[in-house]
Formats: sequence, structure tokens, C-alpha cells
Amino acid sequence: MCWWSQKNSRNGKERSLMAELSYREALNRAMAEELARDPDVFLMGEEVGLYQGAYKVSKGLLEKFGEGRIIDTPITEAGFVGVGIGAAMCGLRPIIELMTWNFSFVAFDQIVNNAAKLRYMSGGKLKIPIVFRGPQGAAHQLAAQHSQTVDALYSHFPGLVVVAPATPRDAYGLLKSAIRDDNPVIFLESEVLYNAKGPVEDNEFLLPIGKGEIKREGTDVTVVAWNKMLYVALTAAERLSQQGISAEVIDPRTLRPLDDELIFNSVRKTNHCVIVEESWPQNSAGAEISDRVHRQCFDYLDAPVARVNSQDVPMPYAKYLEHAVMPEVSQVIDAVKLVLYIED
Amino acid sequence: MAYVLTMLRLSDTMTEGVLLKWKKKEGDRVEVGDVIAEVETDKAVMDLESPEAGVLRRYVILEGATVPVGAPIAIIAEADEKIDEVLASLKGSGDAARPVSTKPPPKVVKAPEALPKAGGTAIPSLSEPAETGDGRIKVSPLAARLAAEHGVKLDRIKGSGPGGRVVKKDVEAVLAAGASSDAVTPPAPAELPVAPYSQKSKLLDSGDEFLPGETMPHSQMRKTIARRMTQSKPGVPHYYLTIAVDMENAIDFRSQLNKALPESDRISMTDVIVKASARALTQNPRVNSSWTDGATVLHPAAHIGLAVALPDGILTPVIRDCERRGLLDISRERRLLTQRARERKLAPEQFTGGTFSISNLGMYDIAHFTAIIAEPETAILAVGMIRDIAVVRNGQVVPGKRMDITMSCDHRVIDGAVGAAFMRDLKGILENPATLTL
Repeated sequence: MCWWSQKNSRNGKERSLMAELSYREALNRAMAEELARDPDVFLMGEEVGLYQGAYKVSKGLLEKFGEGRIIDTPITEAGFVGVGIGAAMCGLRPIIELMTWNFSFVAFDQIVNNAAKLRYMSGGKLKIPIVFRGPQGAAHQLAAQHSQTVDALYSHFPGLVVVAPATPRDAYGLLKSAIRDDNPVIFLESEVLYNAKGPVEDNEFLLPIGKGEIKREGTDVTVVAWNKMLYVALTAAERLSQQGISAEVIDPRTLRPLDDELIFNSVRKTNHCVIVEESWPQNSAGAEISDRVHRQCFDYLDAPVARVNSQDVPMPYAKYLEHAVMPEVSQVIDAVKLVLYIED
Repeated sequence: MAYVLTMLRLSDTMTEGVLLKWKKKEGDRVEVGDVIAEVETDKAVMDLESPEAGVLRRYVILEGATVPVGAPIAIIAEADEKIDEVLASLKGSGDAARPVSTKPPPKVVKAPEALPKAGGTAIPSLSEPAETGDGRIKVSPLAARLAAEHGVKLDRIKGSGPGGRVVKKDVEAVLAAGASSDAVTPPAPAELPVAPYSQKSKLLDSGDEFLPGETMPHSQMRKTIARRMTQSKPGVPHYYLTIAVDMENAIDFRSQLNKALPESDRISMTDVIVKASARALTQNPRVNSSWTDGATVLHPAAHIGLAVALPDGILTPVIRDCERRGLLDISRERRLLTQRARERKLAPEQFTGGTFSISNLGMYDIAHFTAIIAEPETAILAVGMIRDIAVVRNGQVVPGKRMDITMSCDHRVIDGAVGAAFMRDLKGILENPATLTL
């Protein structure tokens, strides 16, 4: 990205180098480009073809690439996930859309026992270049069974790569890298992010898997957040700045492998750390990050790492209760003040 | 009564020791003075002798572990005595009545290094700070590190964090308050036998009524000088005085002496400088001094440390009582100590308790350099080579032999004129060395 394209885009006068894309459009463009580039790539899932995706992420792809590349499946997660893994074993590069990650649980064995382990168990003779993608987390009143985050669940298993982008640009660059990766990639999107807009360069680019990004520079506290929670963290950082507190917001973007050093370097600078995530607190990805920070930055910490999570309950259906369960900006602000020993 | 053997301070600058080797096994009988372990200090490998008789019941740390001075390392008790409670108390459970016949170990904040290197076995963990219970200090890891780096005593700081936890800003506040705070001490405090001083004693800086062997309480002016000098340069505020000494007489003097001495007893120029320095120190007692928290100590004897370069560092063996020993005596002692230093076999009393140091780099053709003061001493003399230079004598340029000597002075104690007077006296002695035989 060159500086004047950024400037033009901010002025709303962008010409050709930078477009404002929605998260949905960024994913769509990434898939379209990869489908066009490599004939081994195909998309499979429930309603990805004729209906153009439950969330319209695959809009226009059937028309452009035909039924051989954009494949509608019945409601059979264990089946089409397994078929995808078989196709990957045979050298194709499937993208499997899960209507939501909540449905992946019926294909859990396929993902964690087959996709994750076949490369290892075949002594490297098999590669499993497959991407599982779809939205996770709470959206709008989808209730307990359809509001879960799977960050911790899938990043627990060696053999899986877990990516959780927050911005359209990251979604585009990381999905392209995921499709080209020879390992199975768990690609975590978010329903409420599909409409989020952001600048994405017009020229093609890839973002490296395993590299995070400093989304906002700061000096007083490191706030680690990804996926939907990045926006909660950035809002909190903005409000904190009005109170004279400088928060550095880090988006690891990939949960496995995790960009430890980016986080450690920031914590060594700020001496304080808050982790914000949508998951429940127990055994979460944030718990893992917290542990690593405590062990690797022990002598740099001025306070125990604080974590902000959803409440430890199944997600209620009621709108107000849903809001009460999800992490909020005010909780992040409170956590920052806790680790900074600031009392109100 | 069970006795908790702690890491002993085996040298005055030792803050921690590596337990290299146990010399007694668990279950062995030990008598007072028996060597229990080999300990590597900052200076040498030393024997750790038991101050107590009994049965060595239990190791508390493993070989190879680094532990701070004062941390428990073993338990000595009667053969049939129950030691479970003592073991439990070492874990920092803070029992009200510790069945331990030793004073509680000093507060130790650096816990990680005290951990035994190997896991497993029934050896109690030292992961808790050695002093817990009532005296435990809550401190954030960052604040603990900052405090250690700057020599700040944590127990003097009021923590502002939850439950009184000392946090970064508390340490920074103390540091900002500067060296005037009594929570800040030099990083490597050394213990010297200091006679207790009375506030009612004579006022400082009112003249020369203080005699060697006495201590001079710090006056307000002296404290201010100390604080300001320390602020200007971290640690000891050094300044340097250089003087060129005409060494022709000293060379003659030394060769005269050596003509009368057997090969094995040759006097070196270093010996002459040591003796001359001792003489100058007796004439300038404030240079033969130590800076301590409450007072400046004027040492009654000149114990002169001589820097000896080793492949992996420097040792400074100390030649004691140089002011009243003859040149030959000093020379023999110097030769013996240097040899032992090279073999790393110095006993603690042979490298501690110096009151003044000399570093001679003349043999390396160094003409002039400055040395760094070894606290709590207040001065060190850097000796350069003797060189042939052109000097003007009676309007004629003639060859001469000169040696540059440079004294680094601690400005908290030695003001410029005091140091200069010493240098002038030392130069005078070296230029008329025959007086050394008096």
C-alpha cells in the first residue's frame, strides 16, 4: 500500500489502488482469485452454489466457475467434510464452507482425527491442503447452540492451522494464504463482521500465516484481541486515550501458530497485558496466551495478565442477556485499569 | 534442636553461591568445622564448614544450585529427631514457632535462582522466597527486578498495589527521590568491621581532630556532597588525579637493595610503591577510609590490595599492615599472595578487608590509565610504566625517568585537595625512597 492511496481512500476519492471492501466481499474476492488461478481449488458446502452462500460469501462464484467447482451439498457435515479431506489427499485444494462453526461438531472426528493427523501419520507422504471456513461466535439471538466460538477447540490440535482475521484486508490476504497452504486450515470468520468495511489494495497480495499485527500503537498496556473482539479492544483503546492511557492493541490474526514474539515485545515495552476474547474463560486461547506471557515476560510484568471473556454460561436467547454475556468495551477499560493499578 | 544450615557469606562481596559439591552425605555425622560442601563464590571455590555438630539429615538444595546468602541449604539435627516441621517451615508456611535454632534467613526476593536445578525427589522446593510468613513482601516481578537492578530495598517501600503489592511506580518513586532515600543502597554492599559511632562525638569537618581508628559521623555538608556526587555519576562518584613521579632515585634504591638480596627475595618496583603508598596513607588518613551508611571509617592500618589479573578476571589479594611492615616482608607476602591468587587458592581473609588498592599496568607498557574504585574503599592507585622522557633541568634538556600514577578518588569522602595532598606526599616518598627504610 502506498501512502497516497491511503490518503485518497480516506478522502473518499480513491482511484484504482485501494477499494473499501466489506469482509464478505474480501473473502469472495480471495476465493474468486484463487479459483481462477488454480484449477485444483474448489468450493463445497451447504448452499454455496445456487443460493450463493448462507451469508452470500460465495456470491457469483457458481456463475463464474460452474457446478464442477462450486458444489452444493446436502446437510451432511461429516460427509462433505470427509469428502473434502479425501479430495485434498488426492491432490485437490478444497475450500469447505461450514454454514457456521457450530455445525463442525458433527464433523469433528473428520477434522481433528483425519485432516489434522494424516500428514503426520503418513510420514509426510500425504498433504491435506484444505481450508474449512465459516462464521463463529454469537451473532444476533442465535441462542446457545449457534453462538459458540471454537478458537480453543481447534487450536488445541497439532496439525491444524487456525486463522481468525478481523479486518477485510486480513481476511483477503490470509484466506489466499490459507488456500495455498498444504496444511488443513481452520478459517474463523464472524457473522457480524461480514458487513464490516475496510480498505483492501486492488493489487493481489498475500498475508503470512502466523504473523500478527499491531493495530494501534501504545505505551501503557498491551491489549491482545482478534476476530470480532478486535473492534471492542480498539474502541476501548480509543476511550482510554481520552483518559490519557495509551493502549497498544495487538491482533495475532493467527491463533496457531501464534505470533508470540509480537506480543512479548509489546508486553516487555508496556509491562501490562489484557487479553480480550469472545470464548468462555476456561482453557481458552487467551488462557494459553496469558500463560506464555507470564512465563516469557515474567520479569517485565508489573501486574498479572488480565483476561476479558464471555460469561461462563451457554448463550441466552434474549437480546439483553446476550449482550450481558458478551465482552463489552467497559469491561476492557476496567481490566486495563486493573492491571495499571488505576482506581476510579 | 534441628539446625538449618544456610549459605554463608564466604567473602565480603558475596551475595550468592553455587553449591558445587556436597562433601558429606545425608546421614553423615558432622562436627563443628567439618567441611560440608564446596561453594563457588564470586571470587573462589571455598569450603563451607559446619557451624554446628549433628547429623546431616537432609539436603535442601541440589549440587549445582545457585542460592543467595542466607538461604537454607541443609538441615543438621540429631539422628532420631523429627525434622518434618522444619522442612515445612522452609517452604514458607510461616509457622508461629519455628523449631529452628537459627535466626530466620534474611529476606530473599530472587526466588527462581534458588530453585534446585533438578526436579523430582523429596527435596523441598524453594520456590517460595526464603523469607515468607509475616515478612513476605508482595511485589510485582517487574518491580522486583527494577529494585534489584538499582539496589533498592523492597522492605522499605510501601506498595501501592492490591494488598500492598510493590509495583513499578513505587520503585520508580523511590528512585526519583534519589540516593537520599535510605531505601537505596549501593548494589554490592560489603560488610566491614565498623565500630559503632556516637552521634555525640566530635563534629565532622571541623578540623583534623579525628585520628585513625576513629569513625567520623557524616555532617549535613558531607551528606549533601555525597548525594550530589552520587547523582552526578551512578554509584561511586569518581574523579582522577594524575602526577608524574621522577623514578630515578627509586630505580637506584631498588637496585641497591637487590644487590644485597638473594635472587628469590628480589624487591619489585611494585613493592616499593606499596610501601610508599602505605606511608602516604598514614600521612593522609582520610584516603585510607571506607564510606558506609552512617559514617566514614578511617582505618587504623593500611591493608593494601594488589590487583592480580587472572585469565577470567581480577583478584585483589590484600597485604595487611603495610604501614608497619618492612619492604622485604611486604615483598615476600606479595609474592606468596600473587602465587596463591593465580592458583585461586586464596583464603577469604587474604582477599577481603582491603583499605586501599593498587593496580599496576606498567608491565604492559601502559603509560597512564584510570582504575575503578572497589567499594567500600574510597581510592585506588593506577600505576603506569616508567618511561624515558626529555626533562628540563637547570635550563638543559636531559633524559629523565618518569612514572605517571593516577589515583581514582571517591568524592563522597575524598575532596580534591585531600587527594592531591596524598599524591604530593606519595610523589615525595617515591622520589626520596631511602626514607622508606626508616
